[in-house]
Amino acid sequence: MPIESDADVVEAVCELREDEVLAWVGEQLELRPPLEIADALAAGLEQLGARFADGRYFIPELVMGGEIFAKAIELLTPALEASGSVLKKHGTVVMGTVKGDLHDLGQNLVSVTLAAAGFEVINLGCDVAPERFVAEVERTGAQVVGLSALLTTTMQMQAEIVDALAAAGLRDRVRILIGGAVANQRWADEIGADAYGADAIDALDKVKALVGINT
Amino acid sequence: MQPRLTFLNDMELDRIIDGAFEVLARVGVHIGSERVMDIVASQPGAQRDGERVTLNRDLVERCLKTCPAEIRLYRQDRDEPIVLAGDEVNFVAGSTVPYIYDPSSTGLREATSRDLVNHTKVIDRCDYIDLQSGSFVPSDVPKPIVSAYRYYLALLYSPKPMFSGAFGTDDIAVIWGVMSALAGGDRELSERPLALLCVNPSSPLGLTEVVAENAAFLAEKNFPMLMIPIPLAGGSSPVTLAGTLVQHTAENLATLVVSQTVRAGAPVIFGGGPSIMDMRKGTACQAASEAIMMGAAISQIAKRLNLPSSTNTGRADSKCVDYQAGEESGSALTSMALARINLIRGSGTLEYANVVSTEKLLIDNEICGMAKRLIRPIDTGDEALALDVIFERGTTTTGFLSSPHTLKWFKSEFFLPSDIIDRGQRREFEAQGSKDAFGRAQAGVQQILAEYEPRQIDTERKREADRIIAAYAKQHGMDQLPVTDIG
Ligand code: B12
Repeated sequence: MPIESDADVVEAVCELREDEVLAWVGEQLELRPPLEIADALAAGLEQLGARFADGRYFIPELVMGGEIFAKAIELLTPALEASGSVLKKHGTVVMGTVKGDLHDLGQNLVSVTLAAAGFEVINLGCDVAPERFVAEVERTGAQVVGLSALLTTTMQMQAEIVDALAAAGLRDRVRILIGGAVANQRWADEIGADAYGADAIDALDKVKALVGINT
Repeated sequence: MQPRLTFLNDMELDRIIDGAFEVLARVGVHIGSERVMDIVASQPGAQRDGERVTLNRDLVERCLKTCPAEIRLYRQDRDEPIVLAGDEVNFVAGSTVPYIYDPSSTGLREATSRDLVNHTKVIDRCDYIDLQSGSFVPSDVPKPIVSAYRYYLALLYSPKPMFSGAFGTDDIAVIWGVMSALAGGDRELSERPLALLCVNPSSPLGLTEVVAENAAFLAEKNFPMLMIPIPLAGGSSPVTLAGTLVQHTAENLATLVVSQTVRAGAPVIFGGGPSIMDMRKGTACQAASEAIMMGAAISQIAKRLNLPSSTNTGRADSKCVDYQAGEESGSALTSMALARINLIRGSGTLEYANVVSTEKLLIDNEICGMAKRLIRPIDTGDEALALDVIFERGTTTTGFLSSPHTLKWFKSEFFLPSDIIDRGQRREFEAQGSKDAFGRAQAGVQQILAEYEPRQIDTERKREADRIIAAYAKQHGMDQLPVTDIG
């Protein structure tokens, strides 16, 4: 089915028709401002996220959709830069599993879910030292930092990172979200984090709330 | 005939094992410890490339040859060993969870040292659960000491062998100290292990600093090490079962190479918890059908490699002690017994190993008992075939109840569950308050705790264990541990 309208591109993104989406972006670049094209693509990604949330779509499809979106935006970038327009991103989130902890699947899942919803995600992987979180928040000006811990012994590291961000004078600039199997709201309160996210969908809701996007 | 659950024929097994050899030779493993990397990389057949090292087939096969095919564990109070080898089946209580199931609240609360103690008292009374596990990570002691304190409490409260793991490279030495004190010395402990320890390689193909160092530590002590890679198909390993098994086997083999190069002959167990990532919920699903299939495959692969085996499969994903939990643990524990896994973990666990229920443990204990019955063959010897009995009784109306044959055989031929499993009359059921299995297990737990009698333990040994754990607690800011007495 050829892509003839913005509604069609939403469907094409959802159906993961990568080649067609990228070809369409190429064609549209001749015809319209890049920001408009990006908006249409973003609507596709949002629709994909909605279908995931209501159970019709699965994680691998969500991830693949996110990648197609990223490739399409890459095609748009030169035109965006040339026209001096900026893509409106919801915000930047630095994510990672804390030092001493190697459980990275959960935070990866949260990262792809946030990325698929239009956030810029800096995924630092696992076993990430406090200094690294501080440096990345500083460098990227992220609005939110997400700390994952799955072990009783590494929860303490979440507390240390909260303190390290404060010591670096970044506490007012960045909201802190924690998660992982052993974390909970009580622990978030105790260590002075701003929120606790129980799973990827909850993480997305919490991040949106932290950056002030209404859902 | 020995009943047995298998999923792979010899050719299929070889394809998986050959695949694992190829993975180790081509991409190898990441080793996060420089010291251990040096030891492994200096072996003929190992080729270092940065933080990775490839291992050729000769090297891995050489290491396999030195691994013992049998491991013996000992209860503190008995001389006869628990054997991990061949077709032996042993059950292990589920472990290392932060939460205890609490039906009166949201379904869980953070576990304390007292919960751990009570749970251990119940494990001690579970006839079909062979190993204990200090199931909870207590929330009322400083975090760095949790694993050592778990070993201490569990081994005080039950003589059953303990299974769990260290969280780091510091606490493993303290765990060793506690065990050694209770065993009466390092040599005694190595000769008669009253516990075993796990290391968990990180999928894909990673041995972190802690894993590599602890594998080396256990090899140096000649102490049983259980290897637990947990590749989650589609998440941290290929989405296919065969692909996940190849990677899982490679992860076990790489860990075993560390062990054998540090000390040839050190005891290792081929184990793990390969499962799937639920593609809708993103959870580390523990009770999937595919976990059962891969669990049975682990047994076959381990037997082919001549190693003792273990599996995580037996855990439930349900949040409550309900029909789902029963279905999940019931089919998993039974299947893993039929697959002849030497160490089957999971009894008592819920919510993909985040929660343990003491009541569920008691119910699972019955499942383990039934599973142990299931793997005993149908005896078709003359006496069991009972032709004479049929000739004599089959033509009368007296039936078989009064036959001496019945009296002689009924206890050994039938598995008799406890009252947790309701097979009784309705009258009795109603008289006891029409309780379901969970209600009966609650009553069972209360009764066990009420009947508890402290066990006798050598005071010298206990004093030494007390000293070690108290010093460790103090080092981490706790002057008085919540529990140090048996009672
Ligand atoms: C897979 C696994 C491993 C793998 C990890 C491999 C990898 N590449 O990630 C391996 C085998 C390496 C491993 C090792 C260990 N593990 Co482990 N592991 C697990 C297991 C079975 C599943 C974790 C997982 O991947 N889940 C799937 C993901 C998608 O879910 P998730 O991580 O929970 O993430 C979701 C939410 O929590 C949330 N979330 C996560 N992060 C964040 C961050 C933010 C900001 C937000 C908002 C939300 C959020 O959203 C996610 C998506 O929905 C859990 C059991 C469990 N119930 O969690 C044990 C578990 C976490 N492990 C445990 C233990 C004890 C260990 C070891 C210490 C064992 C040992 N003695 O060696 C080692 C420690 C290694 C280390 N230093 O980190 C315990 C922890 C107990 C405790 N109280 O501390 C658990 C609970 C199992 C158990 N009962 O024994 N493990």
